[in-house]
Amino acid sequence: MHFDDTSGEPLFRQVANQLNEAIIAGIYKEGEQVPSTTEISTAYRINPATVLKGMNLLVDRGLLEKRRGIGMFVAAGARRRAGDDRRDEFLSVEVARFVAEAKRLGIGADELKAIIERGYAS
Amino acid sequence: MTLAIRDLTKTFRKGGAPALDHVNLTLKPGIHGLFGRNGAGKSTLLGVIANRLLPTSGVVELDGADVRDNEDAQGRITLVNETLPFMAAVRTTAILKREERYYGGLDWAFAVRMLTAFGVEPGTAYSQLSLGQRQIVRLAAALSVPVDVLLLDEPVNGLDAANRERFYRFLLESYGERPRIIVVSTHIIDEVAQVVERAVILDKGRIVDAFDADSVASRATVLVGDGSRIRAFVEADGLQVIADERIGRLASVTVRGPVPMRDIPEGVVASGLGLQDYFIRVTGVTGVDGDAAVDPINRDAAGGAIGGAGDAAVAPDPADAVAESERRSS
Repeated sequence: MHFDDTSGEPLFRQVANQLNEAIIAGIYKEGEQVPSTTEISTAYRINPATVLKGMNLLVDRGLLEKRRGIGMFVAAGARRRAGDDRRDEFLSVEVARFVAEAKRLGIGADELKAIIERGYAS
Repeated sequence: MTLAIRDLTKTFRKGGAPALDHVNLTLKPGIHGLFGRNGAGKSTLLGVIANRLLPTSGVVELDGADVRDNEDAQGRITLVNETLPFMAAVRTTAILKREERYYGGLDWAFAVRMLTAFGVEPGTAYSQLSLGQRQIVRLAAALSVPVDVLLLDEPVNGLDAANRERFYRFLLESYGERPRIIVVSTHIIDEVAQVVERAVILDKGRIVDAFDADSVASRATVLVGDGSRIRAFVEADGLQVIADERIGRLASVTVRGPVPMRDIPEGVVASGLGLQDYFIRVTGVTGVDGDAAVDPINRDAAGGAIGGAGDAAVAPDPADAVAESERRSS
């Protein structure tokens, strides 16, 4: 995991995104326990409240489950949903930003399309 | 567990500028970063909380009880600062035992593990330790005693980069095991930006801002682009200017608070600030007037008018301590 406090992305979101990626990659499998807030906090030197806030985002999205007194576990079906979430985010946020930047630079839709198609072909 | 600082003022010299000027602050369990420039009053504030300095007026309360000359309360508060007690001939273990007696307990497993991690043999005589190692002994003791309020005044002074990183890990581990009120004052803000939960900024004896550290990006927005375009935007939206730097026509203007993306004029790039950069802009001397005055190229083009926006930004607002500090520093 890598955290950057100058990226503009709030740190708790970075924590959530990194855990999301780890679930997609199958590093933490469904039904398995993820590291505790204290473990993540000390390993990456991040305040535990921030770590918990990030984890709670994934709890709200149904990717992690709290088990009282034990810790956090990857929920059933989480890997697929984490992938879907990431896909939605890419399509709704990143592509929109990409197109806006292309417009700003005066790159037309056809030109952009050609570049994308070339990228797929290679 | 609440530490309440109420209307605290400390003046060292009669008629002199106060080191602390009507400070109000309430601390709950969490790791709090206390930031301020040299002489801002950080050490004085921590010294008063730990009963090493007497306030001129105001009160510090731990769970409702005044901490001043209060042995019960002081047994729940510990301070590590630059004053090194004279104990050259004493062994490290004897220092830990003394702290154990005073505070009524000590987590020996944690203390020994921490000392060992830093390469300090627990049985070593204090006099044989380097300056940095002595600091480690004091920090290990402070993290291991069962206090509710842990005050660390520049804890990483004298520690190398690898040891500073190691210290932050032990600090977070200790906090994770036993949440309590921890205050860390430091000048190396970048290093603790992710470690602290709350940030408190002290300037000239006053608290100019206190906020959740992970929300720092929304405390201020830097607008970079054409000076006159930014000026018009700042004026139209009534934004409060904190800092204003210019290289010719290119301006970098910092305004208070978040600015909605859709409001940003075309050709202007907006971004948030990290904790250290925000701190520098809030407490730095680069005021609006100062920069306008030293800009020889753009003085006529934009300088005067941006100065006008600056005046609006520092208009009196008693509810806003930052505006107050801006006015005093400009």
